[in-house]
Amino acid sequence: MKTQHIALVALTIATASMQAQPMNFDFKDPKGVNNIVFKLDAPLESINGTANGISGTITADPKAPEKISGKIIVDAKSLTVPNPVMQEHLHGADWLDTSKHPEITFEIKNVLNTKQDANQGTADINGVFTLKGVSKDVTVPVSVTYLPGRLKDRGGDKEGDLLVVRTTFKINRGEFGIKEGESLDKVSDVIEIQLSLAGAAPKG
Amino acid sequence: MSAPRPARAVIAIGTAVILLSVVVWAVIGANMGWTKSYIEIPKQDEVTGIDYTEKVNRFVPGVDLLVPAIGAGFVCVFAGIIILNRKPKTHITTS
Repeated sequence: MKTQHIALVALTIATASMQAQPMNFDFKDPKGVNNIVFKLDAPLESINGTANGISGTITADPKAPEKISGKIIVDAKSLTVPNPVMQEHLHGADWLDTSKHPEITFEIKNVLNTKQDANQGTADINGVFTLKGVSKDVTVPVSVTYLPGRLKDRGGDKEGDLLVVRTTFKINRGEFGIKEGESLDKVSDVIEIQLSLAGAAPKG
Repeated sequence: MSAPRPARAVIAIGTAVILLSVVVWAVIGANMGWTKSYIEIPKQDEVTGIDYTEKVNRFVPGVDLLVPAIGAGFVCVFAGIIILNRKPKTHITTS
């Protein structure tokens, strides 16, 4: 009986230490739920667009949120706005020039101000944001939710964990070579970007 | 003397364009913004709680189409009125 008890304790410790290992979360979502929303103020109505061509990997240790690293990649051609004329302008040379700059990326450098409560946490993530070939250091407030063992609930056949990442931040388009100082009466310089992403870490 | 008939037709066409534009715009959604080629239906992923939208292809005319259509209608109406009010030329023949 005592031997069984020791074995059980050892197994629990081993499982806990295994869970504390960093895991690789793949953000290419087969369900296509992962999305980015971007908003620009304009006189008639704000221009709201979305993007869902998201990929990339984040390595995270749920027990040590400050050890997060990785890169999120957005296919620039997946950015859409409902107005067809604006859509053409958006992908054109004056705006995103998606044929020359097909990717928008965010690479994590440092994690600051981490706060954790059970499986949820917040942090300020400092990283390099690259848009239209211009890279800038940005710090964004991020909320992270770790969902252990929930991967299969999304309809797949693999067991595993999920990591949900949400953030909202603002950039100035002029700083990224997008019509700097131009058309300010038609479209604001500030772009609000909202990310809602779920990454999967299959087991086995 | 043959001017009034086509002038009235131009006024009728202009009025029809104005009315039809407003009715079509109102029926399809009375969109006060820009013309859209798709609409977005809000959804939420049950497991992750992520809010996302599902795109449905649908043409929704905005005021950027409504205003030029009404403008074209008014141009027709005013052109018709001008033609209608033009004084007929009198031909004086002397023998």
